[in-house]
Amino acid sequence: MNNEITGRTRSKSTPRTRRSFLKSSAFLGGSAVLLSQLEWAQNLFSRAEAGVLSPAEEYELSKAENILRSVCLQCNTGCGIKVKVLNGVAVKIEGNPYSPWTFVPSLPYKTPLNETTKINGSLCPKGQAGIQTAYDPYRLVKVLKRAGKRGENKWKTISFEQAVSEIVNGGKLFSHVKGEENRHVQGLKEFYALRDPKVAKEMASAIEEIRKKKTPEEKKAAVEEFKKKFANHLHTLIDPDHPDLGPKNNQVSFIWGRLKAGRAEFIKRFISDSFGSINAHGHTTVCQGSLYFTGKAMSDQFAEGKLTGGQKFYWQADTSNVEFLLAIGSAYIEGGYGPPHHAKKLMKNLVEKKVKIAVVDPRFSKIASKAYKWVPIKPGTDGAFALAMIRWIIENKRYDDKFLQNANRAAANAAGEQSWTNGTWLVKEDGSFLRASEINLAPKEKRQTKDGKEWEFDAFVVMKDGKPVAFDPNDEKNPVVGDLFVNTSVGGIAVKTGLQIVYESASSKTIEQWADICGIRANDIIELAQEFTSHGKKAVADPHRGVSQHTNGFYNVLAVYTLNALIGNFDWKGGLIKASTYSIDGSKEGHPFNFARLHPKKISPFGISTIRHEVNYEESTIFNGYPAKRQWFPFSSDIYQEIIPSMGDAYPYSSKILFSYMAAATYSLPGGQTNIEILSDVNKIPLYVASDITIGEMSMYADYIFPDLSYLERWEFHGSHPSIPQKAQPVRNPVIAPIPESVTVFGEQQPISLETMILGIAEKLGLPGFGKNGLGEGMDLVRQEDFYLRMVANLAAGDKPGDEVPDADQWELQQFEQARRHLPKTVFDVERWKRVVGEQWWKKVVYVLNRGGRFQDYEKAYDGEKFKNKYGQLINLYLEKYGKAKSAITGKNLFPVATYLPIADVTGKEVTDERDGFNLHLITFRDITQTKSRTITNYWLSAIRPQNFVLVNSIDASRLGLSDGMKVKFVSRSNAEGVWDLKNGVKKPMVGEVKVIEGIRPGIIGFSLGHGHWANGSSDVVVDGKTITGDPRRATGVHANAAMRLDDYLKNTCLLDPVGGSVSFYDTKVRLVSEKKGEGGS
Amino acid sequence: MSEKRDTATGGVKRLSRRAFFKRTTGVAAGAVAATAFLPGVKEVGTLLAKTVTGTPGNDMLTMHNDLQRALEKPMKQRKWAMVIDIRKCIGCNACAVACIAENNLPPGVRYRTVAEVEDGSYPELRRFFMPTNCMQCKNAPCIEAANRVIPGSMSRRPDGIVVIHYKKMKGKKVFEAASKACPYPYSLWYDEGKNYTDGTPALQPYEKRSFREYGIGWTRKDTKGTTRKCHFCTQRIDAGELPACVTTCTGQAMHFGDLNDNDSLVSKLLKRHKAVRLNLASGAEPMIYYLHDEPEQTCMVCHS
Repeated sequence: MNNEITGRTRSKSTPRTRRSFLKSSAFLGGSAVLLSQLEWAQNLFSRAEAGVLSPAEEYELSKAENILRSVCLQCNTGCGIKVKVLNGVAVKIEGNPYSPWTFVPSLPYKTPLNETTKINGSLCPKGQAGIQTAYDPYRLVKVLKRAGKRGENKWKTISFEQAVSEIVNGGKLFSHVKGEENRHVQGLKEFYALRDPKVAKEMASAIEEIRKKKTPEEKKAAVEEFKKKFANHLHTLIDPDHPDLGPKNNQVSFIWGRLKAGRAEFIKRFISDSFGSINAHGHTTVCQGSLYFTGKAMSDQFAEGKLTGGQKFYWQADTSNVEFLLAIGSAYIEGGYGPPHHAKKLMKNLVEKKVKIAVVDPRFSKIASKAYKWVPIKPGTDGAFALAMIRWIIENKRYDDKFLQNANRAAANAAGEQSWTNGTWLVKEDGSFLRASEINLAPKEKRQTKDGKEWEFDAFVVMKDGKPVAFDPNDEKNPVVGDLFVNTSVGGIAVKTGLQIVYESASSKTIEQWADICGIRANDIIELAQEFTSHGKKAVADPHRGVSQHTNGFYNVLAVYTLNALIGNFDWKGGLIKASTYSIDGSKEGHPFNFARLHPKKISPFGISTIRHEVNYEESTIFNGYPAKRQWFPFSSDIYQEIIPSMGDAYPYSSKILFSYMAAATYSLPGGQTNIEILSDVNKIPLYVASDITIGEMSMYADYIFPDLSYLERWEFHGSHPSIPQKAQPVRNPVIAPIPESVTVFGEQQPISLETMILGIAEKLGLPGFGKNGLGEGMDLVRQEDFYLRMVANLAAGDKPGDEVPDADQWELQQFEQARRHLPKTVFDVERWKRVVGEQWWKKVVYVLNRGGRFQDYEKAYDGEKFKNKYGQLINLYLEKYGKAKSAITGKNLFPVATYLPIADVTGKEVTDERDGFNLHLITFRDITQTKSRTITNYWLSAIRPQNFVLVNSIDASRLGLSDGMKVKFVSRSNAEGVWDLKNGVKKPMVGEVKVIEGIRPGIIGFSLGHGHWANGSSDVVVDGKTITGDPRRATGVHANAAMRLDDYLKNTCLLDPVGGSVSFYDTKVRLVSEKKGEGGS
Repeated sequence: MSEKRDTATGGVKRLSRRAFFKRTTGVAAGAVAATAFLPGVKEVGTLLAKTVTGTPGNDMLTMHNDLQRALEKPMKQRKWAMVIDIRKCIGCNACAVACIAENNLPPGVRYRTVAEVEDGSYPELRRFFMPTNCMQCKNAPCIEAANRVIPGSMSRRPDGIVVIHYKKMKGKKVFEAASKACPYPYSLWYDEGKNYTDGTPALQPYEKRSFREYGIGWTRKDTKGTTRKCHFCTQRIDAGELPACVTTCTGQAMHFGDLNDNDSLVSKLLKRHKAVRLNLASGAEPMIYYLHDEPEQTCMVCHS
């Protein structure tokens, strides 16, 4: 059987003829770089044959002048890389030993560069294959314009200037396409409606007033008043009767897939600060949105009378020092932000018996294979599991009283803790915190904000030994501790502590009942709870996608983090830690370039976003009772699965122009086919412009595609991840010559890229903030380096005075230039670079770039047992704000504490497709050789794993008559046909090959993400009338996201978490339909 | 036959002993005898609770320093060995890809493979990963077999690395002879001179690059039709860099160094650990050692 599989795969990869090579070479447009490389190779080849290779050519890759340091982006982890270049071609990538991601412990930052030449850190297989992302025969070199219908994959190459001009000015742009002969496309200039920052600001505050009005009548009156006041500007609004939708500028959206700092600021400067649209949205919810947004909820701080300002972030285990790691839905050594560093830390400690690992996951993951215990839980029941542990820990008094009792900062400090919870704060029956004035415990007091505004402070209250005590959460002087479990009344008001409410939630079922929901044994839960509470603060229950990517994701994560809070492991060595990143934005004292001030005419966007984020439905002028047409997300953002479907429904308003960057929503989203349907309709999104390195699964539906630079050709500041204890800021910078062609923008020769596209449009549209003096007097923004080098200078300056990096010495300065000798002037011009940051900063900038970023030394992350790069503030276990908010669909209040919710659609209706014959529960996972949507272009990875499989437990296999090698089709309630309808005449069946295994819970089936492509070089495209044949090696395997369950109410998007915003990846029930032998899966 | 080499691909594979046996016999470059996979023999060290790696510091740096020390000696005084701690291997295949990149290997050639095995029944399971490559045997039977077909096609460097002389060792006949003699699977590969981007819109520049093996610079054209195998990254170790599979190993399961140096990490690991070498019965004296707490039980899953 096995031989059959490999045999078939091989036959698919049979290289095609020379003819197809010639036919398709027009695609690339003949890159000068590639030609010169070819010549070099031939030259070298003949000398090698003649045996005349000079000694200098002996192992070139060990020489400092052939090594550049940057950051990987084959996944989102951000491992430091050393790129080894041979005669201008990147040929080998190693881990950068300065980077804590690849070398444990990392080399001290001040290690002289020349001592590190031959020292290499580790990378995963994707990192090792990275050059194939850059040197990809299907890379775009020129701008493409659609020559056929959307998605038909017929293109023509056009000049950059023409593309920019058409996008800005509009017109009958597609008169050459049948059916669009008379379609007039509105250009960007028509939506650059509101341009005056002052008017925008005034409108925004007037709208705030409208929002505050309670009744429809009051709102209506306020709108009339608004219309009078802004009579001269009403034409700039989407709908003057609903001014809170904002200006027409909002009908232009910019969305992205994987975006990192630097480019994030560049895009924001364009679409928000200069163009004035509120619609700039990322893809967080397709990754682990509800993990981030639970972090946000838990990190709200008490400031000026409100609990507010939570950060979009999450915690992870300190895997270097944790003694008991309970990995819940977290595939540490396959994905999970950093197999290279996690594996190194955990495997070392494992063989030294310093760590015990237990894994809760329906799949026997690789980390499960290293664990002493595997608990194959039912997907979507992680909240129940955590609540069961919480119940046991509370009832057996195994919690950390000394941590939990602290009600404010002073108490935390006194107890030797760095953070504290609101678990002891008293809560009234209506869900609000009890305030001291309400029981005459302490009067309200007037306080002043930093900028002199007055606000009223009303103390919170805890119960200590039966007596109420008032306190300020931020008080650093007067420690206040409270009783943990309180259910009483004070001054006639019934009160409970947050922890009491958590306990009531946890004890709403017995441990046996919880275990039943999870499909596991109660004893396993108890055993894990015992172990979890037997390591002091060096135990962590670490949730990831498996926990967050469900309709109940937010509350699952909240339950798991609440469980951690019971042992007080936050900010402790071996406990839960957070990421710490050096700032680049100029906001710190001593930073030379403060970007907040580097914009001569910044406009502040306002209005309701197309995804209705961070705004309450009830406060809007389009409030029309429950259910709303679509979900609103008062606390979350970057709701990826709602962007295109909301445009499809024109709710809350229609969208006219869409820009996408590194986005593959159609492929990576569950139910991504709904996005295809909308994108292929020119009436729903009249103009779609994509920035991409290939014709991708989403960009194939664009009207224009601008080629972008790959991660080896561009700038970015990768930031850090919660599992890296050291403060860090890896810097991605160009290490190879650009593949796309060069164009002239603002008089400067530069390769086409995301930035060049933006600069070109800004130039044409006359946007402020770009071009001559774009960053302020004497500071041009005409090339991307003008922006990014200044950020590097800020990074070099450090986060406080005295924190500057050393100057690069003479040798380092020489190496810096030498190692870039293969880069053309369009990307590297040392004199120009120097001028951008100034002589004063140049040597420090070189110091940072020579090391691939800035990294704190390992030992500085800890102070004894404490984690030094601490979170160090209030952790909310009770979410007052959330308890007060309502779902826009059900009109019901959200839960304020950890709870277990069954899998349901947005109306709260449980999803029970298993009752209708969909007898298998579908999950996905990550194979370490692929990321979700891009690495299929890397042939070395396909050499290791040519395809993915449909993993089926042997019990199910014999029940259903499935065996290795059988081809099966995924069919679900949402996709009875079992196909990807590409809306271009092609219906791609979701057919995969069965592999029968033991390591998956019976009843569950899984496939790994990254295969089953239909674009990205996997199928034929026509450019300038010539067919470029797709490579079948890029189309292998199956991608069954189109089988994933759509929401019955929303209809054109997948099931989702209405609170944290996550998409549901693991809540679909499917049936596998056996295909006839010989029918292919692609 | 090369098609069948890819048995390590495709995720978890549960194997009965019989199935594994069947598979491995089908695997190797044409002709590994079934008897090649006899049980490993426990040979050095005793299990200690405290390992060398328990000491603070960075094993990678230790090995880097060991390498520099070894290079100060004449080549014949070095005895290179790999020590692979399979408890730490996570089956990520970073080594396999790093090796392809480092040595510019063409399609169909992989010096390093990582077998993956699932053992047991749900939910009592084990899953482990077994990296293999040319073992640089002290008494490498392939050398004699190859030289019998083409004299001078294989030899052994003074530091123990088994050398293929690409200018001589051409053709399938010599490849098959050497493969047949080799007691291990996944060791020798036949180079058909293909490129990964053959037939795509453009052959990519990295495929045309030169690479160094056995102290000499080559391009793909030179090695077409030759037999290929792991050489412990001679170009790197000679220049003072650890082999590509060692430095990239995410779990730091890979160790490399000089067994003639008592202070090297590899020497220490072998003194303090249970280690096995595969198929000692062949008399080949391989230079790759595997560490595991329970080698008998674990290895026996497949090798019995």
